[in-house]
Amino acid sequence: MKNLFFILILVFSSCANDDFKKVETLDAFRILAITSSNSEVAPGGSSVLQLFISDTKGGGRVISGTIEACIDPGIAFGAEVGCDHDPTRTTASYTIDTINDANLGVSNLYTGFAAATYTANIPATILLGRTAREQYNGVSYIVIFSFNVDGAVVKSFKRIVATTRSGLNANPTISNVSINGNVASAKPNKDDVLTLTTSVAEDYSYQNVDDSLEARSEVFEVAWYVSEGEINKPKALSSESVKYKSTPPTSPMLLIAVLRDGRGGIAVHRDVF
Amino acid sequence: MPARAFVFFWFFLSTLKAQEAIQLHGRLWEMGTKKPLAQANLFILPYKLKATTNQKGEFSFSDVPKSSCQIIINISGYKKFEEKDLCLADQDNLNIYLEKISYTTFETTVSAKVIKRDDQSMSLTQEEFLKMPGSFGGDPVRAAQNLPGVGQSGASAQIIVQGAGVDDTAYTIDGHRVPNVFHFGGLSSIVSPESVEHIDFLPSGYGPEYGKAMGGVIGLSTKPPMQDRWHGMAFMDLLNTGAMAEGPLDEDKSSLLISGRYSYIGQVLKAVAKESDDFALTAAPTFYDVTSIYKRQINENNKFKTTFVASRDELELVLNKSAGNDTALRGDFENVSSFMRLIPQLSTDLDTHTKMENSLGLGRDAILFNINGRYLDIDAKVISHRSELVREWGPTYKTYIGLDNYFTFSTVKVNLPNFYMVGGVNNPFSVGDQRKFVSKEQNSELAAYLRQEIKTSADSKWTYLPNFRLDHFTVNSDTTMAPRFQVRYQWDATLLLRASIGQYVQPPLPQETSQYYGNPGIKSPYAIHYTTGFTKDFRQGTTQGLELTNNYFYKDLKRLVISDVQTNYANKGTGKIFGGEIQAKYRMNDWSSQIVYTYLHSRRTIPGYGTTPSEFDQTHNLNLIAGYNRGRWTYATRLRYVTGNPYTPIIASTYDSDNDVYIPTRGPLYSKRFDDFKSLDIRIDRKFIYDTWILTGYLDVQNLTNSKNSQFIEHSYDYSQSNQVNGLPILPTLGAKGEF
Repeated sequence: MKNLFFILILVFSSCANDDFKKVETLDAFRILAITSSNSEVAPGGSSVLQLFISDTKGGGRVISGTIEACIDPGIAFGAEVGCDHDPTRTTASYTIDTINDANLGVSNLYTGFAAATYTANIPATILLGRTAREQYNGVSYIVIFSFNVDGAVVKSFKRIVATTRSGLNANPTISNVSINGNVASAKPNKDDVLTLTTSVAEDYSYQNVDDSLEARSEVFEVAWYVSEGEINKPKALSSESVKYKSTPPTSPMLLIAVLRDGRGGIAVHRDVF
Repeated sequence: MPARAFVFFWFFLSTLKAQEAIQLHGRLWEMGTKKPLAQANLFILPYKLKATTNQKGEFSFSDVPKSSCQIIINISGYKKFEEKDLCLADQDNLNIYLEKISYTTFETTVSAKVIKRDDQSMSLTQEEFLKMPGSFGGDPVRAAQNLPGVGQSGASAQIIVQGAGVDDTAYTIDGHRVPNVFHFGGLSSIVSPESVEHIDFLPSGYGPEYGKAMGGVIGLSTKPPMQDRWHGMAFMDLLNTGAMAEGPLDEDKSSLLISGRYSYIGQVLKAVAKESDDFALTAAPTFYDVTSIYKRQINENNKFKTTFVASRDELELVLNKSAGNDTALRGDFENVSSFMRLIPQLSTDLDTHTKMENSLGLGRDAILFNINGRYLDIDAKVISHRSELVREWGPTYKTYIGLDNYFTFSTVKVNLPNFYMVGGVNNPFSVGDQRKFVSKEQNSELAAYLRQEIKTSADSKWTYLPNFRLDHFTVNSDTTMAPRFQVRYQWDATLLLRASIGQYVQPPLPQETSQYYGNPGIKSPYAIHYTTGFTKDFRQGTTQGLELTNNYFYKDLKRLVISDVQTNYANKGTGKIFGGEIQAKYRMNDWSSQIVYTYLHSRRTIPGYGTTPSEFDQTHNLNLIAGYNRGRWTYATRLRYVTGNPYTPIIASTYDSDNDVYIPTRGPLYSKRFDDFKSLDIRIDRKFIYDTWILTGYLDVQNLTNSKNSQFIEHSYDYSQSNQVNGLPILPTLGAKGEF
């Protein structure tokens, strides 16, 4: 109970330090999302992964990295993100050519989907020895992407969930981004309202720790990004409107929305104005 | 010549006889407190008439010549009273108020002398903590931070005892455990200071009557309500307001005290936070508490006392931005915590050598933490029970046999992710495995103890205390027999030497044994305390001079519960705490001063992380306290210096693409330290004494030098940038208190 105070500290620390870089403002090399063809699969299934990256200040360059894939070591329970525990882990290399990849290049401000993909093959035995709850809710197979950029390691990962559930998750979609109610066609002005039109959230069931089945609906969360300026709520619900808080630049500008369904499903929308 | 003298004397007598005589009846009071002054002599000059007040302060003069006489009262400790023209007419109800030379801070209550059962314990009486600098207007628990062994709490807002964890310290009111002693953020304790008689601090080596805490015990003892007449008090400062009334319910058997406080600091916060983009307060944070004490002398052998304490804290807000960029921590936020206890106590003198104490603690603890549909909702009914039979078998042998039981009937509703924290660094909520369940639990913590005080002869300087405590916790079906041995050597009347060794066990925290959230196989963590020390009193029977206390301690911590990837929690941690502390108190005339210094090392060993400093490893902890009392002014100051708390650096992070958060990578645990803590606090009290009441104005300034005193680390969204967040800036509290 006494530790609850720690949570309060955490809550009040949300008053962001103005000297820190903004989460929504694109700058150095970042991975904004790792999308997959299937976020949930049956054991033995596969999923194709692709990186959505941003390197607006990179000036165009080739970035090389590595891939490790393995059964989740228990990240939800505090395990370090890594594959050293799994003797069946697979490794590969991965290259991002920010100059020549079709979705990147200077006209896209070096921001978009990297051309290279990675196919994760989920072991057919991944659920062996697992509890009924784990088999139903799923066991994660993780794919870790690591890049050494400007002297720092940029590491990110995605889960592919292997489950016995019959209705597997489908990725959400974004129809369009609107500015002040109109489909975005130009840079937003200061205090313009940004909204998103998306697919409908799916219903699914989840087995709780007391083995009861709980009916749930997906909750869509949106991460907003801009190449210049700030957004008042860079992480919001898809139903929430947010505001662009800055005067737009005269140079080309990126506006990106990454939609997540909370079950690994991701959709990305990019506008370059 | 004789004839002339006779004529003169006759003439003088006839003159006197010609003067009219008057009667003077009245009462003599202490100014401000309206305390009757008994056995005081009053003189009327020039007639050399004398009267002495009775127990009610009443006096009476008869046949006083009607004149401009002078009444003189001169009592030790009071200003001399001289007044003329009181003999001009009969006075049936003359009230005379004598002003004391010096007034203590809260004058209408008098603290009893604390009887210490444990040599290791330290106590602060009400008179001491009410005028302690840096205590936010006399808060007893905050004042306890001036005691040796009490660490700087940092962001935890708890009492840190000799480098122990925050959950290793138990809090009690009248001997019965309560979940907390602080309102939000540690600004003030949950019992109004004026209803507390003393606060006891037991850091190590304590007796068998105290259990279920391996780090220390903080005990608040409520005062018996005043019996002489009705008293009242009301105060207001920048944080809160409150009032208290106490007095007799009948002639000499029963009395009652009622007090309450309400904090409006939330209204201030709400006004400040109104324009914030980050969060919006939907309900201003508030807290209040109520304390009531009823005392009744049933008969010569039986005393009854009931204490009622209730406390509630509330906070509601909307987080517009994700806290720590964790998408799980946004939206509606609500935190309500409350508890109440009714503590009836019956004290019975069975015979001149045997005494029985029985008490219950009946109450309820409730906590609601809700953030955007993720919640922890605990509602627990609590019954605690203490009984103790004390028997003095003779001058060489005394026993205490007791029971210390605690029962909870709780309903716990949880919808939270697994919360993983190591080295004070937590993983984001979004990453944890979601747990949703409702759990109804009944748990018992049963304990029996035997305390013995043995001397080999009546005049022996040695006292041996071979003590035992038996604990059984149903939550993990753990039974522990804990021996505790103490020895004292009274070198002379001024020097006491002591040593102890003992085992201290505590039950695991509820979440640690939860079948859904924790590990039901968790054992009870425990510690072995080794202590030695002495107390030397150089005052030679007076109140002036030096008192010196010096203690050394070593605590061996076993079976500490730590987060575990495979089993949620595991008894894999161990630890060691060792150090020494010194307290030198010096009083001379109007001056008082203290030097309190603690040196300690607190280490924890966690498999995979090695041996590291603990979160509260504060090597040096120095308090310099000085007070000066002159007339109606009291000045007090405290200089506090504490080694900065260790913290765990974050050396990298990994982006979790599914949850849109970064997971921190910890560097060596607690391998860095915050800047040292420095604080200069002052307190100035000024009294205004009126005939029947006292007004006290006070200024309490914390952190006068505005030291930064970093409390925790904030990070950028990907942990690549960090910054130490400062603690309280200079914080003046201006208040006024009226009492009668």
